[in-house]
Amino acid sequence: MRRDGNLIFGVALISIAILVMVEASFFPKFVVSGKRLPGPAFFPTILSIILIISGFYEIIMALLGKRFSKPPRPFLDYLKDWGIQNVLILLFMLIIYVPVIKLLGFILGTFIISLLLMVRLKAGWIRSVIVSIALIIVIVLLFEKVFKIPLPEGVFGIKF
Amino acid sequence: MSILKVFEPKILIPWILAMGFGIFVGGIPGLTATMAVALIVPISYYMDPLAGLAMILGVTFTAIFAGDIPATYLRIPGTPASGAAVLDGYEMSKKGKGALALTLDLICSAIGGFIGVLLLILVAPFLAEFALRFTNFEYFWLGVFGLSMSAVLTRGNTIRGIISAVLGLLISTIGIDITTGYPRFTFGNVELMGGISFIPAMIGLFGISEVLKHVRDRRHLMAPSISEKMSVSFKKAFPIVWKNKWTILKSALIGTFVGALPGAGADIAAWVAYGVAKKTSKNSEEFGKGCEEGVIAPTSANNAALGGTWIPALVFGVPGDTVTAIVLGAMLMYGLKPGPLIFQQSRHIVEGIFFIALISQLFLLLIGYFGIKAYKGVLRLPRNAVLIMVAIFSIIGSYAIRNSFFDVYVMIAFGIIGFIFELLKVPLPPMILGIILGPMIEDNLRVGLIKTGGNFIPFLTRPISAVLITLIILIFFGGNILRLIGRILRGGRRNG
Repeated sequence: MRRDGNLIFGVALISIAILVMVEASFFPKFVVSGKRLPGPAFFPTILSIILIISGFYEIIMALLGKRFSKPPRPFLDYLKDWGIQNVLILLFMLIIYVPVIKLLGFILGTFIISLLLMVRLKAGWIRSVIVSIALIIVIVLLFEKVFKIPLPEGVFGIKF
Repeated sequence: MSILKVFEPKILIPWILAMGFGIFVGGIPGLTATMAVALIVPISYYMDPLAGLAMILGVTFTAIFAGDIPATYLRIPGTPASGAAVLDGYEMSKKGKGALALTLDLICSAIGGFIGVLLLILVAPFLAEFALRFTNFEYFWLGVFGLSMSAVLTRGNTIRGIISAVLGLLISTIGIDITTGYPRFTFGNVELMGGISFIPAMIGLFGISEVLKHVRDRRHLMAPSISEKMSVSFKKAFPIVWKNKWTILKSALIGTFVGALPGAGADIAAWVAYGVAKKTSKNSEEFGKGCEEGVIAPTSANNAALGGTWIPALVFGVPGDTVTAIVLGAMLMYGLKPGPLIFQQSRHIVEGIFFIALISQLFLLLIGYFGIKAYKGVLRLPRNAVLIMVAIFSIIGSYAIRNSFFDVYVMIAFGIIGFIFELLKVPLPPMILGIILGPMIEDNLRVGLIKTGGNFIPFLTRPISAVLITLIILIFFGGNILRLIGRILRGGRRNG
C-alpha cells in the first residue's frame, strides 16, 4: 500500500505540474521595449519543472522500494471501518455545514451538526447537548458581539 | 513628564485589559494579532496616545504568545507566528509535558520580547539602516533561505519537504499577478482573484487534518484531550531556561534582526530561529520529537521580532509587518509623525513606548499564566467533544477573516490535503511557509530580473546575497561538508 501510495503521489505531482504548465502557456507574454521579460507564467513554470523532477524521483523511489507483504484490503472493507466512516461523515458534515447554517441560521445549524457529530463520536447525548449549547454561546458572544462579525440568521431569522 | 505616568489608571487599566484580550484572540485559530490590533485602534481613538499605544503593544505581545497555546495542545497555530511552535511543542504535549512546554514558551516569550525591546532601544537606527540596504535581490534570497530552512528542518525527508514547499509556492501564485494584473489559475472564479488566504489554509492543514486523524481512533476519542497532571510550574521551567540561555539569546537576536526587515515578521523569525537552533544544537536529532530547545528557539524569536518590527516603523516610518502598518496609521491618528524626527518632537511618547514594551513582558508572565490555565480547563473535556469544538471553531475562524464562506471551503480542502500528506509522510509546515513567502519570493525575483533586463548574475554577486546563498548551501549540504572535512582531516592525520 505504501509503495502504491508513493507511486500515486509521484504521478499526481507530474500531472499537477503538466496542468499548471498548460494553463500557464496561455498567460500573456511580458514584453517591455521589444524585450521579453519574466511574465506571469515565469514562476509557475519554474515550480512545475521542479515538481516534475520530484514526481519522477518519487516514482523511481516507489518502484525501487519494497512492497509491503500485507495484501491491500478490498475497498468495501475500508468503508466498513468505524474510524474511516467517521472521517467520511465528518468531511460530509463540514462540507454541508455552510449551506446548513445559511438555511437554518448559525445557532440552529451549528447545534444540529455539532450534536450529530458528537453523538456519532460517542460523546453521549447529555454532554453533546451541553457542549454544543456552550460552544454556540461562546462563538456568538465572541464573534458577533465582540468582533461584530455577522453570523448567518437563516430563513427563520434566529439570533441572540 | 515622568515615564511613571504609564502606571496611571487611565493607561494601566486599558493596557492590562488589552493584554487579556490578546490572550483570547491569539488562542483562537483564525484570529491573528493583526486582527486584535485592528480592533483595538478604533477603541483607542479617543484615548491618551500612550494608552492607545500601550493597548496595541500589550495586545500584540500576548496574542503572539497565546498562538502557541493551541499550537502546543491541539497542533493548530493560533497565529501564523506560531507555525514553528507546532513542531516540538505539540510533541511535548503528546508526552504529557504540554504545561511545561507552555511555561517555557511563556518565560522565553517574555525574555525574547525583553531582548527585542532592548535592541529596539539601543540599536534601532543602525539596524534599520542595514535593513534598508536590502534590495529585491536580497529579499529574494531571504525568502528562499526561510523556505529552505523549513524544508530541511521539519521532520521527514528533505525531498518531501521541498515538494511541500514548492506546492505552497505554486498555491501562492493563484490570483491576480501583481506585476501585470493578469488573473492566474482563477478559472473565472471571482473569489480566487485575491488568492488563497494562508490563514484558512493553515487552519485546515494543521487543525482539520488533526481532527480527521483522531476521529479514526476509537480508544483515544473517549480520553480527555490533555491527560497530563503536570501544571504550569515556573520552578521546573527556570532551570531549563537557564540551561538554554544561549539559545534564547541567539534566537532573540535573530528574531529582532528578521523582524527589522520590512515584510519579514514574527512568523519568518520563528522559523529561522528554529532552523539555526537545530543546526547548531548538540541534540539536533531530538528536534521535532518534543525537545525543549525546539520550543524555546521559535518562541524567543517571535516575540523578539515584535521589538524588531518597530525599528523601521519608528525610525523610518516603514512598517516591519502588518501590525506595525496599522500602528503607523494609528500614530498618525494620534497626531504623531513616525520618522527620525519623532525622537526629538515626541520624545516622551517614544520613551513611553519603550517603557511600556519592557513592562509588558512582566505583565505577559502573569496574564499568560492565567491564559494557559484557562485553556487547559477547556481541554479537560473528552477528546470527542473537543475535536468537534475545534472543527466548528476552525470553520468560524476561517469565515471570520474576510466574512467569506469561500475561505471555509479553502480550509476544508486544505484539511483533506493535510490529512493525505500526513498519511504519505509529507511535512506540512513548508507548504504553509511556501504560501506565506511565495509572493515575496516571486515579486522580488521578477522585479529584480526586470531591473536587470533578465540577467540573473546580480542576484549572485551582491555581498549580502552571497552570504544568504552560502547559508542556503550550508542548510542543505552543511552536514555533508562537515563530514567530508572531518574525513579529509582524519585521513591526513593517519597518513601523517
